[in-house]
Amino acid sequence: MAPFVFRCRRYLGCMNGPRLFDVLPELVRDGVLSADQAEHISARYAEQPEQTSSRLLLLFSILGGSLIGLGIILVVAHNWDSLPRSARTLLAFLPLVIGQCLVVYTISKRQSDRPWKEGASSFLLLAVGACLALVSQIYHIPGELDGFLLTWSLLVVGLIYIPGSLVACLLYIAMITWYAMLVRSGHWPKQEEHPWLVLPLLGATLPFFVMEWRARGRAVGFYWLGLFMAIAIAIMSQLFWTSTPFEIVLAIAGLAAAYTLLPVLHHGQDLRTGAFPLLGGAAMLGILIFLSYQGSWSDLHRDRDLPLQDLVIILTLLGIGIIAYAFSLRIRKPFTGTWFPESLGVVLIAYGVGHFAPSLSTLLINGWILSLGVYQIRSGLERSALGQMNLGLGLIIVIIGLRFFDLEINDAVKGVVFIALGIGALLLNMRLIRQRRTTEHA
Amino acid sequence: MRNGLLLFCVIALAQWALPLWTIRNSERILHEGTSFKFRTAPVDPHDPFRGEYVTLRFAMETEDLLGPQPQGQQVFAVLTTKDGEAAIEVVLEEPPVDSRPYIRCMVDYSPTADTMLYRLDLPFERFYLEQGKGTATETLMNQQAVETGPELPAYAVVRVLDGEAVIEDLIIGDRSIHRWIEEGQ
Repeated sequence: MAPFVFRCRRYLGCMNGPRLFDVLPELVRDGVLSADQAEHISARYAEQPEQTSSRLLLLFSILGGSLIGLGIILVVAHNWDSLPRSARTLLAFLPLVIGQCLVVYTISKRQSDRPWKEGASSFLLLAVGACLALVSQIYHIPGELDGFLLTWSLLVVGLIYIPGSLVACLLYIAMITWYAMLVRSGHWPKQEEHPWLVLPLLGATLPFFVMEWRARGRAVGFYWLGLFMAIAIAIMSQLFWTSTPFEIVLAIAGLAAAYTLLPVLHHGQDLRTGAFPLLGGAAMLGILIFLSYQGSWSDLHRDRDLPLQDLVIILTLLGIGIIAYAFSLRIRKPFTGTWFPESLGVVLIAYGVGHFAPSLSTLLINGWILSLGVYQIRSGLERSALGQMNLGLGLIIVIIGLRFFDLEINDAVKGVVFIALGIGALLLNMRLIRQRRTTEHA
Repeated sequence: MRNGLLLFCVIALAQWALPLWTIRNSERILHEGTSFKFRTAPVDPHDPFRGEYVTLRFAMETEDLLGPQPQGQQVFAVLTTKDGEAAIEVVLEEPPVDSRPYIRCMVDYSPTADTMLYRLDLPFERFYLEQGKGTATETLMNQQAVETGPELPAYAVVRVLDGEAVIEDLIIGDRSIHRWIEEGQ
């Protein structure tokens, strides 16, 4: 149910004012809508001129603050050797002072003005980075990029809440994710480390995420916040492994299943959390395609010890997926809307079977991918969703293509099968486009 | 609003305090610290925020020192001058109680795999330069630009105070790198 409501809203939202208003008189004339209903629709979807200008102002203030701040960082990165140390030190603090004055003005006079909050905060965030960079240059302060990003993040985390800025939060999430990746990859002479500190750093953004969820869950900004959060959590969850056990795939599948179920879990609330199922679906497909190779299962038969830390991560991520699925059962019947969450169960069954008969697991996964493809095509045709139908087609073509590379099959046969698949894809697309036209004209 | 302003004041103070503390500390070392010349060689990378720099690899970091020190252990290297260059007088596990200059550094691994030998990782390694000057500096320090005459030694002039160190200048031959660059090598 939830995805249908989402699509419907988005369709209306995507219609430009003139198009929507053009068809209203026709709908009233044909008796599809009453005059009152048409008036209500006009009132509901009419673009308010003030709202449009305020959105533009918000966009330009974010762009302005960020571009000026980034420009300052680039100017600073040039390193002006010819200037004396005192002049360079003074220059380091100039953007910082301007940024802080702008934020103080925003807090005192423009507390409810979002363009001011976003513009001033993003400028100050970048000005802090420029100041730190310039001081590091002047005094040749040692230290790698991870330390620099950590210091910078700690000095700006407060801007997310005071004055309160979405852009500051997005930049902060990007910085701590980058920091965590650098710590994990290690740099000479330091060894690889686990970025434990990133967990409380990310935790600091959660109250803001909840606040935005409640206040502006339907806004475009919340979609971006969700996207950054989804990517950051996905990356960070992979930075704590001590070895590379096969069971990593179970952990990824667990988290991916939870991501795909997020819209179901907030059933009844219209929120822009679309980034989570998008990323979760992509990760789940990646896992399934990896497991569709028979060679992927060979690790299961080797003698190996699973380190405790890895076991805890696997159980945690898998647990998140299973709990999310269990909660979703209160709202969603299995195999409705999408089959991606059910893929977790298939992966778990294949894992169990893989200990005794890896070939059977490979067969199960390949069969499941084909079923997913067929389901997506059928569902796409039913809903007239061209993208969904083509995803299904793509899945079938990819899985057949991959197996062709694995197996010794005559090239001519391969060619014929691909021609047949191509014709099938073409016919299905033509059918759906014709179906859409018929619906539009009806 | 008042609470918001007060909280922002705390954030703003922190944003000032860290760079100011770094500047104060560095200026104190530059003014009051003992100057040493560390023999060095360059590598030329780039930092996305802080710009171009040369990573200095010091001769002192390739010396094998005797003693069972675990990698990553913090030690205190008491410095002296030998033939005009910085040299290690002794490595201690605690800071010296007398006024001898020392630097706080870490024990690095020893490539000889001998548990009785170790090397030091000095706490300064980056020398920032104006954009476009890094490669020229590296070339100069690698002697590729010098066709005749004896090899020019490269040194980092480092001020040392209370275990901390700040690089003051990079000297090639007898001239500062800034003078080399000004004169177009």
